Amino acid sequence: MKILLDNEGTVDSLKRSIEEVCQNKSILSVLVLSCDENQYTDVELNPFLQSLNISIFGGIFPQIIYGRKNFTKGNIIVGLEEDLQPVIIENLSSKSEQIEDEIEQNFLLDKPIDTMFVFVDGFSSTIATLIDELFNYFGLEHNYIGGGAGSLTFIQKPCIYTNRGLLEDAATIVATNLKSGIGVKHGWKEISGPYQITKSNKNIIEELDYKPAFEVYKEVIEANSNNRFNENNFFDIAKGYPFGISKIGSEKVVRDPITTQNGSLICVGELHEGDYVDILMGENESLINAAKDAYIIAKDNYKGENMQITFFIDCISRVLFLGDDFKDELNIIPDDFLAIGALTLGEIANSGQDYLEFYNKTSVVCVL
Amino acid sequence: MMDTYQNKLKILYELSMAIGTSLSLKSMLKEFSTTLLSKISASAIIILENEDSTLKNIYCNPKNIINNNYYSDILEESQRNNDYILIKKLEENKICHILVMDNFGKLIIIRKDEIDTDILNAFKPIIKKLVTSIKACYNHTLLTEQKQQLALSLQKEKELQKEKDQFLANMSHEIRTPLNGIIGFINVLKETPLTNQQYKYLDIINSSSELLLGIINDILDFSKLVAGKGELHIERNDLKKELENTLENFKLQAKNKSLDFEIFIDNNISNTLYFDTIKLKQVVFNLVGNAIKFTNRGKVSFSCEVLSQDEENQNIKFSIQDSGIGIANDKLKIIFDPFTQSDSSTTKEFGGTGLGLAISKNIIELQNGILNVQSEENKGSLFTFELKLKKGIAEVPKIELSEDLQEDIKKEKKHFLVAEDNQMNQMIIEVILEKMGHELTIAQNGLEALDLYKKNHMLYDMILMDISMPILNGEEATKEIMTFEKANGIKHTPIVALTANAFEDDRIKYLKLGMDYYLSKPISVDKLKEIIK
Repeated sequence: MKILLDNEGTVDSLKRSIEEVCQNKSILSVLVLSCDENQYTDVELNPFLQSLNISIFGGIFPQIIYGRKNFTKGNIIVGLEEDLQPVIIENLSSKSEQIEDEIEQNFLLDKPIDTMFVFVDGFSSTIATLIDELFNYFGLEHNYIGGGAGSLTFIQKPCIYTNRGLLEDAATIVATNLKSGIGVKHGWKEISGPYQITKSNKNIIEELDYKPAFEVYKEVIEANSNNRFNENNFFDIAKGYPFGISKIGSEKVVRDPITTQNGSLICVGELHEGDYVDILMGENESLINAAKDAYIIAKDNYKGENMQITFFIDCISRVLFLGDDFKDELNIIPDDFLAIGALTLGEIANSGQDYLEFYNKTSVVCVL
Repeated sequence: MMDTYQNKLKILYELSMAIGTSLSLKSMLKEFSTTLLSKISASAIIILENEDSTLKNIYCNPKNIINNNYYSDILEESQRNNDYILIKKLEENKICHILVMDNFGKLIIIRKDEIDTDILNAFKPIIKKLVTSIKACYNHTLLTEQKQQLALSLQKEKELQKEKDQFLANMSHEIRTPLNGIIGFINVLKETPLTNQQYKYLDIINSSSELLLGIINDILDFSKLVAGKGELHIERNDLKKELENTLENFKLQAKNKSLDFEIFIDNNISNTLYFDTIKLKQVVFNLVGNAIKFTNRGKVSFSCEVLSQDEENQNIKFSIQDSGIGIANDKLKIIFDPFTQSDSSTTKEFGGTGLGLAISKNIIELQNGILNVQSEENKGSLFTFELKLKKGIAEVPKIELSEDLQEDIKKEKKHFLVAEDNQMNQMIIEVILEKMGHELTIAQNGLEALDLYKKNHMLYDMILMDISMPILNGEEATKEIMTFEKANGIKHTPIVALTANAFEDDRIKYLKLGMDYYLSKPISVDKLKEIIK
């Protein structure tokens, strides 16, 4: 494995860095994690990506992590000594039934798989279906790690690296034989609930307890804090008050409301009508400790013999919530190994023997 | 992690809500299984159905669970044990929970930790709802399959009917062409010097050929009617006159059998009524024909009377009564079935296909009437039907003829352009027309006819146009001739469609195309004479 940080974040620096990593003949595939601030476009990158003669996968995220520091500009290039064959699913939002067919037709279960990387456009509306279908096909015999790519401007644009080019509304799924251990924790605590989702459409909560969702949400938050919503500050406040979906035997799954629309709340990730949700609140200490717990669980779950890196998939909204204290979340991870990763729009992982989930506001640690 | 009682209740409610929103078994089970797996942090779910005392896997999530070594243990344990809840450790982090699905099979949940027994007990109503939903999906699938099969059968039926229609059309054409030769030359031969015996033999050949033609026509008519393709072509006509003409044919037959033939046609019948002349005449022809055929002594009577009327319609009752062999009571129900006669000996004695009554019944029903019969064996039969016919406005016929027409009538010897590719047919037409004292020019195909017409259109009084011809068929040739006439301001020359395509649809098609008359093969000399007049 060869890892390179390019903190220039230009098109040329990206090309140079990839070429440099690929000079090593043992490198057969590359994983690229880039920052949104690089402002890459498909027009600029496609000729280069399409001309590469090794497999490329990865995404453009709000921020990246290298050596216990988060960066808003630059790229991380990871050279892998395995000839990987990423499966690309395009036009994800317009597919539902077809996702199952595309996975079944493109994946051959003829070689051992240990860890699967899944990077998806964070603004695609069928991420939950993709996750369900991956589990239905592969089960829990492998580890999964990945997350939602995209921009904090909440404008959907090309953000998934593939040999076909930089793609929008797409997913890349890569099966590898890298040994890994995974831990998932978030540390958010319940403050109010339960509220039943009485009307929803994919990632939009339209009604809670038969009332407009924002009306219910606003009432709870304003009663529990000094915050007051106005036309421009929804996400500034909401980033501290996500929803939690209950599960038996594990932490709640967090759903992050990112904006409002006609009295509805738009979240990252799907929610089902009939489900009950609680409103959660974060405290710096519990969030930071959750990251540490995730690391411990990941190490415990690691069954390999040659641990090389800590691969961090952390939610960007934790950075926004913790602010300067986010460095503590990174520093709490022991520096036994190089830490790299991405700050994402939603996290994909299975924690131990649990069902594969699409998380929000969660810390996913994978040791490789 | 401690789960509160309220939390568990919420999750059980959510699981219950995840069932039964789809009638597709796959979608319903997928939705339920993903919710169950997620909500209780499980790693696999299997649903087994009991089929003849053997448990069969109907669904599992993930799919590859069946490849695990412990899968056969799960099946074996599920088969062997009948406890409502059975918990078994498969390997590290894999606890198997086997739950009974009443009247269905077993639900298997695999999870890293053991699920609380109180939660498993609370699954009972959820599992019951799941079984109901699975059965609803099965029923829906069955119904959908039946619906698809029905649609498929219907489609096949339509295709078969289409093939049958095509077959009948082809056969009609193929049989009529040689019959045209036979009947045509019988008529020609009759005009030559013959001995009495030869004339008698020729008469037999002639009546046999006419009979064969009648049978073909009956079969064609019937197949169209039963296929639901019988259409009415309602036109304004004089019912009294049409009936008189039709019945005229039977007077001689009745006389030959020494039968009294009584005809009563009500004078109150409006002079103009709307009806399908050809089909009504066909019914009268069948019923009166049968009456004469099956009566050896006594009388046959036909009556047509107005039962009631208003400003717009007349209700008319048609009755055909005979003193013939009659029909036994037990046979009355089957006489309208196709290819059926009251007794097999009837066929031997009187002949016929047994289609006449079936055709007549269908035609009458097509006009919202009912064909009734009363009969007593060896005493006779009475067939009746009523039709509601719309009245038309009587027109005073104008007898003023144009100068051209008057000239045409005066001109007795006419010149025909005959477009016909079949040599035998050419010979028949030639003999018939020459016998009538007319002249003709023969074109071998539509194109030749068109060329001849363009050169000598002034010469021809009428065009006899075959339809199926090489190079340019009759329909195309007719269009070209009419275009030529229009472009050059030429007076239209009447065109007679002369074809073995004998369906009513064909007649209408050719007349719509602009042809002036239609004559089906074999050529009826009388009809041709009528057209020429």
